[in-house]
Order: sequence, then C-alpha cells, then structure tokens
Amino acid sequence: MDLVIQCERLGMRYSGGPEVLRDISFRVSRGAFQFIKGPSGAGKSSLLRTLVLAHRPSRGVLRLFGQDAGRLSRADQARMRRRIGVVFQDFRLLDHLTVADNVALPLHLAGGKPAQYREHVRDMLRWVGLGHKLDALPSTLSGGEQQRAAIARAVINRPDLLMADEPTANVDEQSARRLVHLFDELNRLGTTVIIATHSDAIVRRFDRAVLYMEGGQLFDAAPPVTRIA
Amino acid sequence: MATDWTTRGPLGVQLGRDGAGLFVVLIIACMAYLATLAVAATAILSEQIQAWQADLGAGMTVILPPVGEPAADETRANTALALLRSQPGIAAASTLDQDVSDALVQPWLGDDLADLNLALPILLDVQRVAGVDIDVASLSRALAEIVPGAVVEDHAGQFGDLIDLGVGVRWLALSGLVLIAAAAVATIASVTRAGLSTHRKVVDLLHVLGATDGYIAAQFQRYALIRSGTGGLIGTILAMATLAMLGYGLAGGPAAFLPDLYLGAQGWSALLLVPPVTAALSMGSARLTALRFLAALP
Repeated sequence: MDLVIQCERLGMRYSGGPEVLRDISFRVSRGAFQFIKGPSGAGKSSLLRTLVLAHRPSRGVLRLFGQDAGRLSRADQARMRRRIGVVFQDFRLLDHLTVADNVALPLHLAGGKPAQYREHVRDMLRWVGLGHKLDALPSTLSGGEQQRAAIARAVINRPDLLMADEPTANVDEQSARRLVHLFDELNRLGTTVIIATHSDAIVRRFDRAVLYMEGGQLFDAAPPVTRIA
Repeated sequence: MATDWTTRGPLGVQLGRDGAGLFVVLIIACMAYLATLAVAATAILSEQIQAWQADLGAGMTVILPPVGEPAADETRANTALALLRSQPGIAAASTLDQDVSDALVQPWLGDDLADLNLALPILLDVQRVAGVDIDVASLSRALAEIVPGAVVEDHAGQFGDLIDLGVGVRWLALSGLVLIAAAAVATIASVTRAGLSTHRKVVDLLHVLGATDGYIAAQFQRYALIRSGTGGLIGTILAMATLAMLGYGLAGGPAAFLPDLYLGAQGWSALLLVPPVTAALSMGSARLTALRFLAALP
C-alpha cells in the first residue's frame, strides 16, 4: 500500500507543557479522503500542524511519503512541506499582498518566476470563483472569498497531500458545501485530502472515512485509514 | 476576461512599516558618522607617524645663542658648522635660511619681526648619515666648548615621544572603530530579533508553505542592507563634510601650532569604504540572527 502518512505512537507537547497529542497511530494511503472529527480543543489543529512539520513530535515516529520526518534535513523538510497544501481555519492570507500574490506564494517559494506562473494563478482563481479579484487585498474579501483564496493557495502547486483545518467554520452553509465539493473534486484528481472538522453536517453529507479525536487521542475509523495501535 | 494584478514588493514578510526602518537609518547614520571620523583620525595619524618616522634619526638642530652682532654671529655659526662637518656620521650641516627660521617664530611674534629688532637664535640644520650612530652628548659638549651656550636638539628624542603618542592615539581610534562596529552589529541583531518576533505569524506561515530558512533570512538581510546602506551613506557624507570644514577652519592661524593634520588621497579613499563595510556587517548580522532564530523552529 502506498502510504502518504504513517504515524506510530506519536506524542506532541507545546514548550514542555502536557502532551496535547497522545499515542497517535494511523495511516493514510495515497488518494484517500479522510475526515478527522472532534470537538474544539480535541487536538485536531495540533495534529495537522504536526503533520505539516510545523511542530516537532515529542515522541513516536512520523513518516511522510515513506520518509522519516525526524531524519530529514532542514532543506528537505522545506521541500516536504511544499508537497503539502494547508488550509488554515483563520485563512492566514497576507494582508499586504494581493489575492493573486497570496495564491502565487507557494509557487514563488518553490523557485517559480511570475512569467511562468501568472497564467496558472489566474486559472486557479477562476476555478475557485475569484477570477475578478486578482488585484484585491484580502481585507476587502468576504469570509467565503478569503477561504476560497486560501484553498487556491493551498492547491496552486498541486500538492500530493491537502490538509484543511475547520475549512467551513467561518463561512455560511452554502459556501461550506461549495468548499467541500472543491476538496472532493481535488481528491478525484488524485490529491490525498484530510479535513479536520467538528461539523457533523459536513461529515454526514460526504460518505468518507472518519477518524474521531478527543483529548489528544485518535479513535477507530474505517479504511482506507488503518488504525494500528 | 480576468484582470491582471500588480506585485507590490517582495512576497513574504512586510518589514519597515512599523517605524523601525527610520530608527535603523538614524542609528546607523550616527555610527557611520563616528566610524568615519575614527577612520579619518587613524589615517591622519598613520600618515603623520610615517612622516615622523622618516624624520626620526635623519637630522638634528643646533641652536646657537645670538650675541647681537651679525658678523660675530656668522663667525660663531661658521665655527660650529666646521666642527659639525668634521664629525663622522654627519652628512651635511648648514645654517637654516632666515625665512625658515622666521616662519618658526611667526605664529608667536607676528608678521612684523623685522620691526621688533629681536636677536633670534641661529639655527643649524644637521643631516645625519643613515645607519651611523652619533654620540650626541659628546658632540654637545664639543660644540659648547667652541660656541658657549650651543644646544643640540636631536630629532630622534622629540619624534620618538610623538610617535609613541601618535601610535597610542591611533590604537584608541581603532578601538573606537571596533566598538562602533560591534554596536552596529548588536543594533541590527536586536532589530532583526524584534522584526522576527513582530512578524512571527508571517514567518510561521512562510515556513509552513515551504520557505527555506535562507529565503526568510534573505528578507531580513535585504531590509538591513537597504536601511544600513542608507544610514551608512548619510553618516559618511556628513562626516566627510565635517572633515572638510575642519580642514578649511584649520587652514588659518591655529594650524600653524599643530603638526600637518592632512588627510591624503588614501585616507579619503578609506572613508569611502565605511558605507559598504557598514552595510556588509549589518547584512551579516541580520542573516545570522535570522538563521539562529529560524533554527529554533521545527
């Protein structure tokens, strides 16, 4: 089985505090669409941040795309992060950049030149319905538009893995449905998708694998995810 | 059809919109000003020390007290010159021109020396043979026997003290320069740390999006380069203007009491190095500080 994520007895703590993730063990195969569901404070965001290498695990093993993340050099870690698209709950668009520049950022960081990616950025923003907002600043967009810009940024360099943290938390019901359909479409195109949410409605609407999280621990879910601990 | 967009600056951290930029320019300008003066002091002293070292041991001055009658004074001078010229180790001896000896006392006595009708000492300029020692004490005694009151002033003694003083002051100027450079490096490091803390969320975002440490550090590096380059240029230009004004001011009366405080072409060229060196130090400081900060991130 071609694994994108493999966690074994993973633990994580912030600055010497108590563990916020405990004995997390799960696998995600290539092309999977995985929900991680749990209430606020369950540890979903911490898990996603650990998976995108924004936090070091305090113990356990994390393998991404078959490589032990703990053994990667800093340059390789940066390369690994570029294979992962992240949609943050609070969007995290840079206020001083236009929508197009925000979306172009991952391509720029990967060494691309504006002349090479300009058209691609335009297409991507058209795809998320923001083709008319290229030169707008994020502060002038609605919550749903900002979320769509964040998604465009997350998928612009065709990541192998897309992770979204509560992507529907700050948008209305109609926008939420549209967003999850976008993720579904990306998944059909081959991207592995992991969505962390507390929303029952979203999980029910899409018949996909679900892992449950509570108190920093992960509980059973159906394949393609295999719980191994 | 979709509109195009305009990229408004570097993609990443937006530095310098918090007033810190002006602060950096001002601080670095002050430091560059002081550094330029320290470099100028070092260059002037180096040139002066070189000149003194060239004179050191090259000559002596013999002072003969006047008797008041020109014919007698000339006889005494010729007697002393004959003795001097007969000594081994003395290449040449001659009476100092009246114009030159007048110029030496002019700052104290003014331009109308002839009107004062003063009996000034007769000065003999003595050139030594390089590498040959002269027993100055014996020579002084021999001169005093044939011309009572004759005094030998050995330049080696005078310039030796001046050179020691000059070297000491030059070390002081160089130490000041090192301290100024250290302060500039520390200031930029502090500003960079503050910038990294202020923009921590953006730095975290870039990190998660796959930016290398080098990419993020380069943004702080570029910021330091532009600000400290500007500050360095301003400070150096102001310091050069100060030096030029000082030179103009000293060209009048007071300069006659001082040794030649002359900044040569090499000295002025050295001053031009202050802005690029300041910028390079600041850039290095910003890069190292940022890389150390980023190394602490996962």
